[in-house]
Amino acid sequence: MQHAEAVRDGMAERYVLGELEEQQALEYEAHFFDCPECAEDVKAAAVLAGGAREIFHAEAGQAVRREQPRPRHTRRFGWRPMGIAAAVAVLAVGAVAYQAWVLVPGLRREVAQVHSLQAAPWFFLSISRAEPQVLTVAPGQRMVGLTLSRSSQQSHPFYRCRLVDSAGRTVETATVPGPPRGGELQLLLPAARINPGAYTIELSALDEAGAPVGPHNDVVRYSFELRREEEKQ
Amino acid sequence: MQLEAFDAAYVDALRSSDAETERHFVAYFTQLISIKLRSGRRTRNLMEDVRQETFLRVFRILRSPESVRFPERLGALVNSVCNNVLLESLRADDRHGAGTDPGDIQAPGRAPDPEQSLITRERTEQVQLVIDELPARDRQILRALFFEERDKDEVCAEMGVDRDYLRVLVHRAKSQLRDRMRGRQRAWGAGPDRGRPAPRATES
Repeated sequence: MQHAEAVRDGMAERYVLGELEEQQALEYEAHFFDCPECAEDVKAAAVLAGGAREIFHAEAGQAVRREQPRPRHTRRFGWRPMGIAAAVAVLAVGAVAYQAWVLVPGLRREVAQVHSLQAAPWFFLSISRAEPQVLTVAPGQRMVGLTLSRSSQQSHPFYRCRLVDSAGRTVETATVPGPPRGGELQLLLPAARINPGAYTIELSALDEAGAPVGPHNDVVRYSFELRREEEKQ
Repeated sequence: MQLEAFDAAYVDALRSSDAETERHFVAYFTQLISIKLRSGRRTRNLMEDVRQETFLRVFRILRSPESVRFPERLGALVNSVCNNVLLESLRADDRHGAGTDPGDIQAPGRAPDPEQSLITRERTEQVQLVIDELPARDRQILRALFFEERDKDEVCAEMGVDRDYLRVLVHRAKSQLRDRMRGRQRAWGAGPDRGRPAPRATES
């Protein structure tokens, strides 16, 4: 795509409005990544769209808060046929009952469990070696604490952590603040959500802006095997 | 925003890990990657993963012995790498299925957010000024398009306009916003969109 074509066809507007076919969008993206003027154009369009979204969202929130409760109206009792209105009412009652008696209590129990005092095993992981460390989790233990051995003397503002299984698939990922100077990075692993097996934590250092640090963008790896104790009968 | 042009000196500065050039490079392309990824309505977690992996790979390429043959096509390299990373991520998600959802864990507080690099508070204020100057109907149209995300044909029918009107409206509002952003940058000088760092003086 040439610059003149992009400008003539209003590509920035059409892109932000979502009017481009997939192939057209790919071609336009390839163009604006290389064309400073079109990059500026599409950034301005994106800022307009994103800014407008935030502004109208804030206005909608204020409108809801300003809304007064409607006054009650007295109505003469009148006969209504059962029909669709009754069926909708039955479904609504059923949905509310399900939420009240099943869903919400279940969610409350889950939240209570997450926030309750709980025992959590803590392990120290060294940078990957021949034999990965075994982490054994007792039944009911939802979190596992990990202290990652330091790979260098320097601490960085952020670290990107990626939990990868033995097949190389990303299971969990997070960007976490770095530890205090001289400290080691400590993570909480949601063990309840992870199947037993072999895993690797891949750690990359990031600067304040979230950019990779260092000339080679090194990734430090910590391997372990997660095992679960059997439930006692 | 100032226009950028990438050349051999810029690529050399990246290869030698010049901090200011790196910051500029990451800031400039983070915004474009954010726009590209957001257009596909992807999760914030996926966007951040793809962004970081893209930069990791690009820096690896830049610092390899072969480096970049056409420095002025640096943007094309970033876009191409981003496409590959995104494709791999989407394929990995497809293989996982619902049971192995990577999750959406984000560090609270200071964790970097790629979209925040684009929609800053200052820019939102400038958008507010542009919107305030629009006629009521045009404000309603923008609200329907970008906040309510309604079907465009439906919006056109309701507002009594055609699709060209929507494009022209967005074009006018965007142009006004660009003028305001350029004017502010000239007045204040420094900012995330300041021009690329000056090339280092070479010793003779």
